[in-house]
Amino acid sequence: MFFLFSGKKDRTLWVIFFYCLYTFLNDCLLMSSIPKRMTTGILSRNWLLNIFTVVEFILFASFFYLALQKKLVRKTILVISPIFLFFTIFYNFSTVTTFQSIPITIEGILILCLCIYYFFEQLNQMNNEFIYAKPEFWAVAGIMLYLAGTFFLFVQAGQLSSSTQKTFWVINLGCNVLKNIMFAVAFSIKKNNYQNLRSNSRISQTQLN
Amino acid sequence: MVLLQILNSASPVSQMIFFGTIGMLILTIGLIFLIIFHQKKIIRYQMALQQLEYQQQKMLLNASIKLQEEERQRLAADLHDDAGPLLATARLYLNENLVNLDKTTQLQNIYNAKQIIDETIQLIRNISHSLMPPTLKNFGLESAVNDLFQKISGAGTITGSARFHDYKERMPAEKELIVFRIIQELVNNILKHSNSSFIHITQNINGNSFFIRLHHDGKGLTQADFEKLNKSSGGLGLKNIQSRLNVLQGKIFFERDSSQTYYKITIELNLNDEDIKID
Repeated sequence: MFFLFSGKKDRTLWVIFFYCLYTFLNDCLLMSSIPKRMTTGILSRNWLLNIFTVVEFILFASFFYLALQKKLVRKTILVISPIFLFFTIFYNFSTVTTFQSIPITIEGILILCLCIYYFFEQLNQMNNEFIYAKPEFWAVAGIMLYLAGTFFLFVQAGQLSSSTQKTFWVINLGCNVLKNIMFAVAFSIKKNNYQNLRSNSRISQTQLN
Repeated sequence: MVLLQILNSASPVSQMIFFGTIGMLILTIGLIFLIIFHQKKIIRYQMALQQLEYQQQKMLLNASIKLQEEERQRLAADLHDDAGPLLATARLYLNENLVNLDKTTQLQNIYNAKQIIDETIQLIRNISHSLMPPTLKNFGLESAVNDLFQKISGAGTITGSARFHDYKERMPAEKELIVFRIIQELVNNILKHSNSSFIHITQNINGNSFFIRLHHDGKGLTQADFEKLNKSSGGLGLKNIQSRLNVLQGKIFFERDSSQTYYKITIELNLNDEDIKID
């Protein structure tokens, strides 16, 4: 709601907004009684989680495609994304009812690499803008914390029993909360704030004079 | 309670998940903080560099203004001390004619006044030439430099010569004037400080670069000396040279040749830059 009413936003933040919306709907569906009654089919718990992986990857890849500036990296995203999506969809269809650790792990690695590249690109930009003044920084930090925190959980989730899964699912919930807090900070950094921070850096330069 | 369950559990998978998650979170948070602090450090360093550049520009500008004022003062002094008394004397002679009716004396007074006026005309012509040499405007850089060296050699204490190898096409007039002023300033410095017996200038073009090289056998500067003087409060003439080169986006290099017998100053300009950059 805050996002919708807080003025004009970049396209990257719209992607994050749609991701948040989809996550919310997915969580609502997961918490409802439908997945518990269905062990197979598109609304079963594992199916919802596997589809979530695909949609999550599409949205995160779009975010980085819009946020990154180097053309070669953007082209790489365009090339790798269909390959990964094809692999995930094929893998999901071939092993229907179980939780798919491998696609999630690969997705996690790919997105974490993009997060690290984003920070590297920002450090190499020769400008006087503080990195934390950009909304994209907070979004990337949130994505990175979420994927790093849930990495080992999702790697092993397929092999865990349902009771152990439930015990460890709190890690996913905790990382989700952390990610959403970072997204909220990203949405709250208005364009005015961003430009105020730029002009403050100029003021501190004149104070040096 | 979850933590206790995990720690009490004998399952290595559970422990791996727990410790792996903690490790990844610590690494990620550490990386984010490292990036924030590193970028802050970079920005602080960039701002300090910008500040230094700004101070250097300010110094160059002050030197330029000071030199301009000095030139105006010299001009005012030349006109006041030389031209003024001459014209006043000519006026005296002509005034005398109003009173003295003797024809011989009148003729003598007019002749004297004419001599003084001729001298004044020559003086004003010299002042005007020093402000803007007509040879430069009418015949170009090569002729103006040759002219300059002829006057220097005429004094007898130092031999000056110039050789332009690739100057068939003249540069734009503003650029020629700036280059001439730089050469004039360098030659003045050599005459004032170096105690040399010869100055030789060569010009040539290499690709897109226009080179002028000055050689002299006196006491000269190395590049380190030039940079040190440029950063200090003195060395107005050198600062003026630097600001003129900044306008032309050119470079200057001071060195001593390998045989240690003479000093060389190399000026490099880009031929393609038609617009003179004024900040």
